Amino acid sequence: MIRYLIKNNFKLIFRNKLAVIVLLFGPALTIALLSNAMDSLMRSYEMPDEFKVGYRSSNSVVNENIGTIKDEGTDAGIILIEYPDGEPSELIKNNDLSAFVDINGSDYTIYKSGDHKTEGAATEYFIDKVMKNGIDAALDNMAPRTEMVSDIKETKLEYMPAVNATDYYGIIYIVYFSCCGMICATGMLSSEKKNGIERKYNVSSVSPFRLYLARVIPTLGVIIICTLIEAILTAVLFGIHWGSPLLSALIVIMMIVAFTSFGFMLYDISQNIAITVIALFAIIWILGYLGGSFETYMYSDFSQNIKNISAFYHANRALVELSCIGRSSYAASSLVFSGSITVICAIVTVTIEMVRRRGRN
Amino acid sequence: MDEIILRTTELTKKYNNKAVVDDLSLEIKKGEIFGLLGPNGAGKSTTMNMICSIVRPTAGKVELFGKELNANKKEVIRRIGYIPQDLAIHGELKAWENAELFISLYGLKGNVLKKAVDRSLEYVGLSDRRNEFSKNFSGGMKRRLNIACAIGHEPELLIFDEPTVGIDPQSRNFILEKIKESNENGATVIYTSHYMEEVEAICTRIAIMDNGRIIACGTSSELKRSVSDKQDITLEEVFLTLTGKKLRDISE
Ligand SMILES: Nc1ncnc2c1ncn2[C@@H]1O[C@H](COP(=O)(O)OP(=O)(O)O)[C@@H](O)[C@H]1O
Ligand SMILES: [Mg+2]
Repeated sequence: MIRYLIKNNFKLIFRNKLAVIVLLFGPALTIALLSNAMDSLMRSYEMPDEFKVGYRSSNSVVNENIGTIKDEGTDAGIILIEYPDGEPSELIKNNDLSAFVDINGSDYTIYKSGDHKTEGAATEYFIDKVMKNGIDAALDNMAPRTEMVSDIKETKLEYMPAVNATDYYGIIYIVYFSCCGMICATGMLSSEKKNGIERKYNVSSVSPFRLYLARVIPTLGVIIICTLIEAILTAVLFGIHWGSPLLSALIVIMMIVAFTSFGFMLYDISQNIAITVIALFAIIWILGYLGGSFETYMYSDFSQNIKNISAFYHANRALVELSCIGRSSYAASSLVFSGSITVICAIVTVTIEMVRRRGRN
Repeated sequence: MDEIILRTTELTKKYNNKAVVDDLSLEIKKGEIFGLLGPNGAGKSTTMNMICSIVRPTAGKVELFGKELNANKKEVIRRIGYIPQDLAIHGELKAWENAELFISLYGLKGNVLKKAVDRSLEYVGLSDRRNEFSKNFSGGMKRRLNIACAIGHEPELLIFDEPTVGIDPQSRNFILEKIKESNENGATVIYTSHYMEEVEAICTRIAIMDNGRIIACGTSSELKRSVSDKQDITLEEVFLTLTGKKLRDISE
């Protein structure tokens, strides 16, 4: 009956107090210590009141409404200036433009300057809205395309209504810490190893899969409880606002499940707790770095393809968008991503365990 | 004819091409307390580990209760209680929690499990210490708890691998008494040790093991008779005669 295994493993984990304390108060402490730094990080992305954007439009439905569009742009602080000829990157350089938009029929290309990332993102958001609102429904499904110019880096549509620094980093540190939560299992795992408990498991007829569950379920239980307390604590202390609590909780829990499974896989392969913890932290750090855990994902320099491979990008973006606009197209991809990690890691771990048990020396 | 509980046939285990258990064939009958006596490194634990399917044999086979071990592991393993030489208990769990955890591995649950936990702790004399963390226990108490964890499912075959190493004389006597008691209640026992007095005191039949091989097997008096006509010879002297070395010299 793995119920009793789960129960006692749960006790072993909870009695490893240091790890539980880190898990409980890590994010709150980090947020408190870094709140100034976060504010200034966010502020550096603030835009000037007005900036110039060049455009060119051929055979475009936009042409008829260009007057209105220009007015709307001016209201938004975007001064649209037409340049019928010339190379976009040259035009940007020579005319102190923040971006250049080349509209061709229902397609458009935005050229952005690396020096004006924020303005570039705002332009993209603006043009996207203009094209969506200003054109027939028939033209709605056009694909925005972005090209790069010299020192200008690619970003797809990244505009987000302003998110406040505390919400952004608060949410992101809770996700980040909870994904490292497997450290709380070190007490249980080292006790098993030190005391040769594996042998006792082998002489019983508990299957590798059930043993896997008996370790993973209490670990997840402890992490999820700690994360919940943490989320409530930071909401009270710093006023962190989560959008759509149920969906947000699901996204965070699936991230916890994914990276805990990943950690258990690392442990099963390495059979060494220190190596597991170091490797897990390193990999989570890298994925977090790519996915906006340290620098906001909206303005980070990584290409979209690189961001896309980080589970953190999907989860962070989904949670932040839920927090400030109440919906996110990244929620689904985040769940698919973390679900896949979970399933793959669980299969690998149990398979290794089965092979190991069969071929035991 | 007595029922054969355990039969090993030409059981061999090699590590790095060196046989640590070599061509070992044994038969143990129901109701015996079978002693496996040999110095440290003789291959006793490796043999026991193969019998419990913790270690895979290089060659040979193990039959338990008349069934081949590998093909019937699930069924057969439940009927064994294995008390490993090295303690296998969680220090951060209380005595009763350890007992519950390990006894539950054999499929016991609910009230049955609760009773088995109580009975096992009672059996090893730890009932009044059940709520203490096992990390605070003395060596003897840990060994007793180790036993409690392995007998709760009322196995028919008990395998004790050096259960008395490094503990106080009271705990040692207590354990020996309990082994005899279990045997009287119907369990077959395999007992490994490098202490010949213990083996002589409780075992109905003894095998002497050295370098992975059984070099003699029989009751204590049969073994003695086989090497000398004298009456007051000790097992120590039997071992010396058979191997040319002293049991004690090697083991302590
Ligand atoms: N996993 C292993 N790898 C290599 N050698 C081993 C291993 N396990 C045991 N041995 C060796 O096998 C021999 C017998 O060990 P063991 O069965 O523990 O003896 P005993 O229990 O009689 O003291 C020893 O020499 C030991 O070093
Ligand atoms: Mg041994």
